Amino acid sequence: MEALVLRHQDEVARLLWRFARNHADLQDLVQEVFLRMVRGLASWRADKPFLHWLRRITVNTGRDYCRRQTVRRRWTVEPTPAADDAPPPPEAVDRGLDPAARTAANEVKELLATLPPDDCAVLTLHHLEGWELKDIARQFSWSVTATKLRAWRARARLRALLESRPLS
Amino acid sequence: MNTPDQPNDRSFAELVRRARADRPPTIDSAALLRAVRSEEILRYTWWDELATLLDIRGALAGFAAGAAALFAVGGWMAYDAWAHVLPWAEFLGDGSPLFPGGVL
Repeated sequence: MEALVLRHQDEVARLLWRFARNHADLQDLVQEVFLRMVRGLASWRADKPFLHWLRRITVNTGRDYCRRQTVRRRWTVEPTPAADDAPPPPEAVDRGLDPAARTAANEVKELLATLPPDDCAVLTLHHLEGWELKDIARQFSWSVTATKLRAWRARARLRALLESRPLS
Repeated sequence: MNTPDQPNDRSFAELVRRARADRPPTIDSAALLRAVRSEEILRYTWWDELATLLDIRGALAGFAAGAAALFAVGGWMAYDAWAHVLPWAEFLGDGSPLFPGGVL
């Protein structure tokens, strides 16, 4: 079991980092994926590639994270920009290996997080991970047509959002 | 997705292109392994351990032994009820015309 975790943790973390807003969330999400893996190992069929099965768990965990973010945003009050004494967000402290890329990633994540959870998941995988729509459809067990339609609507929502909130 | 690009689309595409270069921070492997280990401990209860120890032959043997024991006890109880409650059971008792020495 430990060998499985050590072998796949980088791949899982890389994929989840497209969803996670900060390091702590990423750590929690990676942990959640492997706990789900341990619980569901009996349901894995040996004739299917293990990585595909693990990737499906990972993507579903990412989508659940989008869902939780939406709920959290709905029920919490946005902090006021005038709060100078507030501690800086973790993203501002953790600049990453490439600060420009980290800043861009944070901005994209922030934008996508304002969309409905499924839209957020689809556009995250399509734009940030570069997945084809048919791959996204397979991961979420949707039809390709439904996925295309969902992606098209998500893109339209994003476009409306970009018009009301220009990028920096 | 096939809609004409707008200036915002192009700047979003550029932003995405830069964002793709971002790499995740390092994961705390030790904490991850601790969590997985504790989950494994919770997952494998004493019953799972027992089931792992007993292979299918052991389970079958246990089932057969249990069934035989149940059959023996049930048979004895049935005979006991039959011999004491039913009057015609005296035919099988001591001195009966059918089995003069008795069955048991």
